[in-house]
Amino acid sequence: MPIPSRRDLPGWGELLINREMSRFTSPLVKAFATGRPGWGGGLLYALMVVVGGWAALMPVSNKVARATMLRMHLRAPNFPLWAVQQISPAMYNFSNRALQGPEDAPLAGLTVFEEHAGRYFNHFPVRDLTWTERQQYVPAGIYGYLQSSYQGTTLRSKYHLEPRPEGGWSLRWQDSAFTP
Amino acid sequence: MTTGAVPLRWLVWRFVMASCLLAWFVKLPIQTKLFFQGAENAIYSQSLLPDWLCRPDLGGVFYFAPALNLWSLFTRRRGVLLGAGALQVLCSLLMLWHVQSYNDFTHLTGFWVGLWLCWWAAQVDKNDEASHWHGVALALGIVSLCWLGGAVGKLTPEYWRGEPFYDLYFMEKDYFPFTYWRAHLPPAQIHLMAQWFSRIVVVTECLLATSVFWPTRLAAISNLLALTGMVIISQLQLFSVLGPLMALSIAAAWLHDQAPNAPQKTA
Repeated sequence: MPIPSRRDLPGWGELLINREMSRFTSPLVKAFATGRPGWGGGLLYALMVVVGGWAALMPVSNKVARATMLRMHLRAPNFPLWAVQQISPAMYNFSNRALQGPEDAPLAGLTVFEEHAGRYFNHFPVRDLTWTERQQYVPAGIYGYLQSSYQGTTLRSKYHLEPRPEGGWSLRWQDSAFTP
Repeated sequence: MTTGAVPLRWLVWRFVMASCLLAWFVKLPIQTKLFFQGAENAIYSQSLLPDWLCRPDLGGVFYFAPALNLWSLFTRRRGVLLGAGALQVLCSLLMLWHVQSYNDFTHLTGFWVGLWLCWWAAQVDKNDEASHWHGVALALGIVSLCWLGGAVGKLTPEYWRGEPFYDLYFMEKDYFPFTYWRAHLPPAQIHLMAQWFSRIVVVTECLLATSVFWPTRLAAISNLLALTGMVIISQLQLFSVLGPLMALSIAAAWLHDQAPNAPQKTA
């Protein structure tokens, strides 16, 4: 039996799509070896790359980390910038704590979190105010203090949940500050 | 490429949509309470969100609208599938922005799986190899993306020391085995368990974030095992978030086994 020359051997494309030789090949490689995804699939790949790239930048970019921490505190320069971040997966991101009380304390100099007070939240610590039974609250409303930490950076925010004269509640952001 | 009277691609689409609907409505009692809690308890305005995204009645509409997608499970009209996928995407987005549901990642996985359903709906009547493998790759890519998003936010000393998980699971959860451990183990040992639990979670998420580059079966089975473990340890509470991702993993393995050029098995 003659020994096949280099020219007779299958090319990379053939190797990739040959099932016998490609059971362990990534579907991503198989997909692009067999054809293009079309414009719809291309858009979906592009969106995944953009969102995945944004997420992957977080450990190395303090700006991305800060923007994501602000997102968890329902903060952004405007609503569209916050809304677009909401499609980025961020399950159990950061070390988040929150506590609430009737005291109107300034955010600067707040020491309760150093004393390990406040509940932990998997993400979005504002949930401490938006997800609770509010009938118990005092007529003057209640203050919520939030803290999220990531790689040495800490974000603290203060909210006031106040009753509206016409009924229901209004959640007002009052302050946010990063340290350092 | 067909299984019985219904072609494989249609079956896969229906399976993923059915899983999305189940995951979406498994929280019906909680969501109903949130959106119908009465005017005295509702938040009607918030500093960042527009007022219409604080209206409880609209929140109820956004939540219940995907029930219309039940129709898509029993039809053979491709346009209905496209519409159902688009409705899933739209309602997920609106729920991600509403003041009573922004924090629930059920709607985030619902959004991404909805995008896949839209794209797959456009492919259901095709029979080409490229769209078949792109379907598998996009399904596993979405699952990988969700692992990546979870992993990067935990690359921090607090998670390496296990502090958030210690509080969220080992101290707060009121079911077995956490209640048993709290009753029978000293705090130092629970701290150590939380630390290693947290480290295993972080490392597993980092590894699975790359699973789109793995062989399909290995990626799908690894994803399914990890997702099922998370659902079990949360006493099914995380099914609403992870159910659609489990469905995508199963769909990827299913499509892989029915590949257009798969060799026929002989007895």
